Amino acid sequence: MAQIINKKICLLGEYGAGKTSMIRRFVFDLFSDDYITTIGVKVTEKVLPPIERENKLQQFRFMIWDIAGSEEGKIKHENYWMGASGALIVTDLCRPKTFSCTSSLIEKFLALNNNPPIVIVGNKTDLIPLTELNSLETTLQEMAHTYRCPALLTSAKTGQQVEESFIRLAQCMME
Amino acid sequence: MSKNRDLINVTNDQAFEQLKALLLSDDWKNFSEIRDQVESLAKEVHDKDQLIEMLDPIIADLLDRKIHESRSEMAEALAPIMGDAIKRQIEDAKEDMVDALYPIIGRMVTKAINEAMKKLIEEINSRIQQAANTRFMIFVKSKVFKIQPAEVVLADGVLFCLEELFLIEKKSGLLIGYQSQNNDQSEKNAHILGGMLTAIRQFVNDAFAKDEKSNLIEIQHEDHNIRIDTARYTVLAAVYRGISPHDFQDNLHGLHHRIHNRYYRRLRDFKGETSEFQGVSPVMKRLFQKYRHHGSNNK
Ligand SMILES: Nc1nc2c(ncn2[C@@H]2O[C@H](COP(=O)(O)OP(=O)(O)OP(=O)(O)O)[C@@H](O)[C@H]2O)c(=O)[nH]1
Ligand SMILES: [Mg+2]
Repeated sequence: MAQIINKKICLLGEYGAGKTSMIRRFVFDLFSDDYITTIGVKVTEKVLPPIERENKLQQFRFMIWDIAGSEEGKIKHENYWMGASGALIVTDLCRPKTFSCTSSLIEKFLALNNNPPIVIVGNKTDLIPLTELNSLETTLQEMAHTYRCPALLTSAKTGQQVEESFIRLAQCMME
Repeated sequence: MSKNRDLINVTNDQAFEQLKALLLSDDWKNFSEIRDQVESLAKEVHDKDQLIEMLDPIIADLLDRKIHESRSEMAEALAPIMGDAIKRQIEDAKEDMVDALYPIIGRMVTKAINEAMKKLIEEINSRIQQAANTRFMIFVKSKVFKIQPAEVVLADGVLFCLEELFLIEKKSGLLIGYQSQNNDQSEKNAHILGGMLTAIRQFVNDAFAKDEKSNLIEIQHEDHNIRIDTARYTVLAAVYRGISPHDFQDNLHGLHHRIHNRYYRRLRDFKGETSEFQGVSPVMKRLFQKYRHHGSNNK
């Protein structure tokens, strides 16, 4: 049996990007979402399926800190970033204007935590017309290239690529 | 001749007076009345007491009307004056104020304490009802010492019940060790509880702490308490019910200190591998054994 390793990871991104929606159906949950508005964070748990890498089987228990989003680039709640082994950075594909705020968020997070692995996701694909999707993905891939991390397109509504994003983060942690 | 003239003069004067009296008698009366009034008014205005007596009802009416018309404005206008006046009064007569307030405050405090005691006794009595197997001993003791059952419970510390212990990495909130009084499935929730406890602790420290060294020590919720002991790399949190014995804080701290010392290096390099800390659980278990006889629900 694979040995379970516990990791704290953060869900970061502008307000309304879909962080809470992404994990809602996917994690083990004990507390009400009210905590996100009152203290700015809620912790949930996800034990990922075992991952094999170079003949090694590894299983992660992610303690997911869903942190209230920032508004117009004003970063807050950095004290909740402490001790994180990684982060899922959630951007809203419907608001490409917020991408630059996301970049500064990423830079601050990496600096504060000694460059842990991150995964960027462009969320709400279900709302984007196919004709626009390509250029948005290109923008996102450029951002991912800057930070040398993967980027994925997700939909919290349909569940598309949600679990995959977390697995990608786990894989990055094994490298 | 001169006599005649005199006579004429006299008659003239008389006639004039008569004429005057005839023409002005009413005015004359009015005039003397007015003069009397002016004199008495002058006296009243100069005499402060009389003036006050005179104006008192008018001013009272006026104030009454004004206050009714614009209550808040009046309050605003009077507040600073009243405040100053009261302050000065208190400065001038501190002793008097204390004497005056003492019985009132004293009564209030007594009432609050009485109510708190009543609640406590009620609580204890209901606990005694629940704890059927300790009940007999309490009954015996209360008979032997001729005291109320609730007092026996207080004296024995039966109220105290250690339920869970969490050893948590301070920064990440990851669970390193966990023990509960009845090894049930509550461990399932322990990881999230440890994380949320850390989040709340960080929130409180961030929002209220004056300096880096101050730490949240206790969280209370209804009859549950969480006592938190903080070290360099870890936090040891104890969930308990009731009133903790006097030595509990010391024992909790002692346990934490021992664990922290023994695992210092591994804690410093901690990357989420809890398997390195398997020796922690038995050590934590000892605290439960120590307080087993305090619990009202150890079966
Ligand atoms: N159609 C669609 N709507 C989404 C998707 N993800 C989130 N939403 C909606 O977007 C809104 C915001 O989502 P949340 O999950 O609350 O966003 P958040 O990032 O947690 O926001 P904060 O907690 O304020 O930082 C909600 O109305 C969601 O229903 C998605 O993939 N597709
Ligand atoms: Mg949210």
